Amino acid sequence: MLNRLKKNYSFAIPSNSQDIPPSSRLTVTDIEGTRLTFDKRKLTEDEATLLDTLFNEKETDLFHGKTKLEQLLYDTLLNKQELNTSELENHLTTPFRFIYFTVKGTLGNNEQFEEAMKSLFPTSPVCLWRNKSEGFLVQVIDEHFEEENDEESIIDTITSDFFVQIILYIGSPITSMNNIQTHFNWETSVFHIVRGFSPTKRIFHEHEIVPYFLLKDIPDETIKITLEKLEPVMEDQTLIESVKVYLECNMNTTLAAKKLYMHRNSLQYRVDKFIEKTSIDIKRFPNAVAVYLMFVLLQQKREL
Amino acid sequence: MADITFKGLYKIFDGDVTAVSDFSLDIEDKEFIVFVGPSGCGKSTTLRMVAGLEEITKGELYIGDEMVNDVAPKDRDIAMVFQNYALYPHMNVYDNMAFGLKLRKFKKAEIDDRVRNAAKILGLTEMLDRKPKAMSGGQRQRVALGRAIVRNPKVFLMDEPLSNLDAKLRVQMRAEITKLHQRLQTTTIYVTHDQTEAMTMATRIVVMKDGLIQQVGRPKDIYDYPDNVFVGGFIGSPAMNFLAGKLKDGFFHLGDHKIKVPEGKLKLLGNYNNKDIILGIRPEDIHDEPVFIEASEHSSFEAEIDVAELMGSETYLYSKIDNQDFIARVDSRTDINGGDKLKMAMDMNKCHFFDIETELRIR
Ligand SMILES: Nc1ncnc2c1ncn2[C@@H]1O[C@H](COP(=O)(O)OP(=O)(O)OP(=O)(O)O)[C@@H](O)[C@H]1O
Ligand SMILES: [Mg+2]
Repeated sequence: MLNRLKKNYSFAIPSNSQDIPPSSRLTVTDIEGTRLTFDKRKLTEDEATLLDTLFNEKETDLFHGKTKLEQLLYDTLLNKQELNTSELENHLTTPFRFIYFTVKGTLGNNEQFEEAMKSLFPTSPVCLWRNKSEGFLVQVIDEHFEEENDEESIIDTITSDFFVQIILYIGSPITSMNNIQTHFNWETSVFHIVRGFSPTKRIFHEHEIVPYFLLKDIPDETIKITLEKLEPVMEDQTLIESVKVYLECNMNTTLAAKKLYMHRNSLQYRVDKFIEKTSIDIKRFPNAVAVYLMFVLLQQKREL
Repeated sequence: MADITFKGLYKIFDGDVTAVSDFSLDIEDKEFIVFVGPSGCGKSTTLRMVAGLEEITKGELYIGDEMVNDVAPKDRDIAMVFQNYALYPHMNVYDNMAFGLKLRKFKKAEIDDRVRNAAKILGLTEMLDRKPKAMSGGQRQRVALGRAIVRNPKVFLMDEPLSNLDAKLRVQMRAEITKLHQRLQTTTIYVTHDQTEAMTMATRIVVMKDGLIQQVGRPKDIYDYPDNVFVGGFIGSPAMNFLAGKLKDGFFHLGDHKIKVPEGKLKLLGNYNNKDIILGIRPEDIHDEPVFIEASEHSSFEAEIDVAELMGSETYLYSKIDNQDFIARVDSRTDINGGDKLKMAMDMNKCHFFDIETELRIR
């Protein structure tokens, strides 16, 4: 959509949006999040108003970054300008990771939201917005960094203060600045496709997102045949839930039991019951992978 | 302070998952209402519609006199508490409680007042400088409650706030939340799948299944007069026993056993003579005391005990009558073991009958 605008209005689109004074910038976004910044001075008032009502859904100043680093990242990642590795390295140390968020609902105040997010993900010097409801943090993995192991609660914390729902994707660490654009593009597009695919899945971690991506377009018939294997336990939601957590905890019973607030032996008993009923030995890795994928499918099927 | 009115609320996700159907309910000001039901029955979805986190597909929702369907969540004057401790791990207790007020641009002095007051109520005064990491699960959940209290909202919405605590702490926090409610008197909707929490905390319980309200009532009324088989089985632990049999000329036939139906109950069963019906009886209404059995010759029977589970002061007896499982809950004074044959009697004045097709209580 924006491509045609780009062609027809090329006269009003500067190569670098930072060249226009902020008050004359008109930035529009399409649903994919692609953006285009116009120089309002080169448009008629009617044109500007029309573009603004059709595409612009935000206060422009939010999106250009407040610090030098934010501006650099904004241009490199969202404006797709050429990567200047050394300049970026002056402001940002590796390794770091992106934390993508999608907000469902209306935020009263984006800056307070940023403050809250940065407090929940400390060592994040950057928060940038792609549009009014999507953005990302850059979290530096240094000696102050601490892995938060209760991210579900982060989501509830945000909800209790801002009355919006969020979906999070914690990206994988980036060790070399050279990869920043490809890395960002990969994670962004996969997250875009996957989020909402499973409405009750609120948080994705690193490559955990891949199975969701892969299983997105499976034909109903394939799903049906695959899930037949789970038929003997299908009615027992509690059993499925506990085995899922067991798999997610690397088949570590102690860890999984802790997460489920139950006794280790009770979980062991449930795992054995699952194996007995389905005849799938999930203690073997390839079987475990298969069952994990079935669970992802099941989650999708139940919700859609 | 506010009452809440639901008028025929529906939530349909993505066009075809109906999570909540025709939900109508009047919650009075100051009530502590508990939504209870099995996983997936629509409790959280209903709560989230009150919060404004989920759009209402159909129906009307009122908080006080105002219809809030289109009121933004942040303007509904509610506060939520979740299962997870919804805290900022790197802020101390004080800042955690103050954060929501800062967002709403309260004056510093007012914030300080409210935070200290909430801390006092919750016994957190000594811990205001502590970070959540240095606190126990129960303390953290108390801070989360504090974050809700300082807002002084019209309504509290709590979604399984005790599920992440261990059993002992849960019992303790249960009592604390009840006390808190008595003190603050804020209208509260509390969601749980735990019928014990519902029974002990609620002023009224709403039992849900498959997105539909099954019954609304005070805990004791729901326990004593379940509207249908589901409610009877869901509320109470161990669950109510259900035995299918035939009504014939004033007697309930369970295979070879004939049990006399008391006059009062029989009056209700006029249309059911010679038909199959379901008898519902609570485990504590099946007795093994000789005195009771002697006085209940028309409802006594002998059965073999499969397992006797000693629970402390009482014992659960697992047995069968007419090949149908039941549990009796008796005093532990008698020494009973699996394999024993035992004479028991049902307190037929306490039982209920249900229509075998609709599963509704016959009344
Ligand atoms: N965002 C969503 N999109 C689609 N379906 C959903 C969504 N949220 C919930 N559901 C479905 O709606 C139904 C009710 O869910 P809800 O979370 O309200 O149940 P619940 O009673 O709170 O259960 P639990 O005890 O497991 O929390 C379920 O079948 C659930 O899968
Ligand atoms: Mg729920």
